[in-house]
Amino acid sequence: MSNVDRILNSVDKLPTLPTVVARLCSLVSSDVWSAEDFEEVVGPDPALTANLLRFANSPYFGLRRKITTVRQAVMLMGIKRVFEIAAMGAFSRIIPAQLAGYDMKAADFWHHSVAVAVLSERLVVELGVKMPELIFTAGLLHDVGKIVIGVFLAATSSDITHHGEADPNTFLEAERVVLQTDHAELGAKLALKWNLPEVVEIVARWHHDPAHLPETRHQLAVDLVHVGNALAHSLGYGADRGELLRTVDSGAFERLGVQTSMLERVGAETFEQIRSMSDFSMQGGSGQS
Amino acid sequence: MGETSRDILVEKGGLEVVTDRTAVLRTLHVGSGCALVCYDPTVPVAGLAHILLPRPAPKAPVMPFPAVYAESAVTELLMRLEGLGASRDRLLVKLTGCGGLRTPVGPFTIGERVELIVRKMLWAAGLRVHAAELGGPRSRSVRVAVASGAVTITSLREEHPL
Repeated sequence: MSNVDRILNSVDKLPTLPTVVARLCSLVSSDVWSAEDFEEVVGPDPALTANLLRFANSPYFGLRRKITTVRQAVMLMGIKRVFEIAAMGAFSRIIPAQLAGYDMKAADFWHHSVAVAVLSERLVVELGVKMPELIFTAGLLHDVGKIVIGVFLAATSSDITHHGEADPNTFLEAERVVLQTDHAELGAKLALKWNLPEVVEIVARWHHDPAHLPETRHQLAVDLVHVGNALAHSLGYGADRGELLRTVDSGAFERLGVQTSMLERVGAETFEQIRSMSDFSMQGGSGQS
Repeated sequence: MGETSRDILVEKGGLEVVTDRTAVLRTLHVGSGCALVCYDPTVPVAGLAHILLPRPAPKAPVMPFPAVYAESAVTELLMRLEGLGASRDRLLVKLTGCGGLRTPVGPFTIGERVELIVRKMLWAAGLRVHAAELGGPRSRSVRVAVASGAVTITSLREEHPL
């Protein structure tokens, strides 16, 4: 058994996404769906329905009129966008109050996750490239492996030894030294376990190492989240113990053609969105106690 | 001693100016942005701005947050300090932040550009920088005690004065 499986299996209290999300995911992938199908799947979960409608009516998604039913949301926003919002609503409910090992509270983790989702999506517009499917969700869940590590470390009272700036390793490398795996590998496994779309799994796995993505189908999504993640850390959106001790792949920047002015413009144009989305989400009570 | 401090959180892109001696100004996770601290010990009055970016792009809309850009942050901070009786001759100016990722790549020069604009604006206002801790792969949190003007930085699990 690999260490990844050992960690996943040893964590009893690992949060789970509601099975509804997996069912929605297969619905979205099937291409044969209707707003009624979607409503039928979401309807029996009142908490998810409430969260979906709350997020759908947030300023970020920019609808001019208030949505009151799931069916309305699907008609106005399309099934993929509504899936993204449903996944967001579900994810916001399962973040542990504290991520052991990272010195990170749920609010900071959520703030970072939202920032990467928004920045990755905004980079698409800035760069004028074709929007990769579900890029918002892939950005939102890129660090989902940290939840596994956080729960594992809390359960075993262990820590990740990292000596800060003088340490030749990055925090990601420190994870590997201590756990023989890292949050990227664990995140991909978790995405697979939760039956999330392939792009979410691939982005979670390769967002720190886009140069070694084995096949290029999701290269754009991985590059976008890699840059979005670097920008989020740089701007201080939800810093963890690793702070800015991060390596960045210049290849991703070259492939995307990112320039300094673009990063600054994206940072400015998303500032209020990230702020309101984080506040808005936390009002809904992200973070398990 | 014995007084309870009143914490005032300065959000990203925000700034605060206070004369309350029991107050402590705080800001969190200053990455490539800059925490600009100005202190007039005579009043006393302290100001803290959490600057995020160097300057707006041409035709960018005006932001409702005064310290998103270095250009507007310096001007606004000085105006509000002077409004509470501060004098430029007495102002102690401290800077921290402007960090960068460990392995920088070409376009990631936000920290350097923020520092450049902040220094340029301070110079234009006739102010010199008394202390600075800038750069490095750090995301710093900052605390300013209004009673003493003491600035404390927390980064990489360590705390030290500026």
